[in-house]
Amino acid sequence: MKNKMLKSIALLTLTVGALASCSPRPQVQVGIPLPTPDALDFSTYKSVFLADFTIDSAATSVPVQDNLKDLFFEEVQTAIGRDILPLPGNVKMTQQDQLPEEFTKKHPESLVITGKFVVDIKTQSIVKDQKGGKRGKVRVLAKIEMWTMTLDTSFIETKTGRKRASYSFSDKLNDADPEKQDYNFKYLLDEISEKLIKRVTRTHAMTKRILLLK
Amino acid sequence: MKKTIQIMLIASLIASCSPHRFDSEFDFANKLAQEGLWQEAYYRWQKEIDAGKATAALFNNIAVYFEKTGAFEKALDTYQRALKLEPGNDAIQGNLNKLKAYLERRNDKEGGEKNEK
Repeated sequence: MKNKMLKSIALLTLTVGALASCSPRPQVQVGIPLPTPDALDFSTYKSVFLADFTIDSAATSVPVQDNLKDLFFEEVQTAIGRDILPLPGNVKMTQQDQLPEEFTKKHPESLVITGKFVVDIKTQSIVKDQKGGKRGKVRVLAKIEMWTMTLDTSFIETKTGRKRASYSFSDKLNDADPEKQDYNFKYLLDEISEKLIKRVTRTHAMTKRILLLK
Repeated sequence: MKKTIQIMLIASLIASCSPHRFDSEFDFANKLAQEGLWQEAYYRWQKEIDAGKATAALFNNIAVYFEKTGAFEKALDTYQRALKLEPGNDAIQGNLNKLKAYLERRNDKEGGEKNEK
């Protein structure tokens, strides 16, 4: 009886051992930074200019162009470590994001930032509880807004007229208070600015590879 | 008789499944790489190869090192050597596919620039 039990234990141990040694080969994922193919190297351009953005904004009470100028002339400029200059007053980009030849000849090694900025606002009626009435709260009909902001930014080389890079970032704000347009706008622009600056200054992206441990 | 067959079966199973044994240099190199000490890891992996212990895992890990240092052509060759030793290894094939996709994206970008200049 004892002998039989010992043999069973030995068999079980061997089986477990065999299964363990057949388990998948140990491996580990590691992150390696690779240069991003479309990274912008601002130091290779003699000047960086900002052209007006095409604007389609439902936030009528907010000075959109001024806010965008603040974003690029302050935040982006600091992040990239290069001065960003306004396009000379008489220089206008065409609808197809093309620059006048006179300007590109004068600044052949420069980069021009331009793009499109869209703010869409949808209004919705909702029923919500408010303080008041005999029971301490009353149900009222209220209006909320749903904001969507999209910033398409293009970086155009004056030498070739080619878009060196273009990024599009979008963000949403649900349940926005219609009375606080300025706050809603700035909240979304801050979110988008952060993404844009991260992308513009990123030269490497982390990618995953597998190391085999056995 | 029945039991003898059972034991023989299990023993052969163990023999066929037992993993390759690496000396501690390989394990240590892997740890170094995971800690970000890639150059030191590479030195030790290379020592293993010089000692005649070429395995798919070694070549795979060295290829990852080459990728990290931007030696993409060497990385491609080394992944392929690893795959020759272990055809069908999903991890190695996955690494190689990712590198190829990256190089394609990079070449598209550079090709575009050259064509337009």
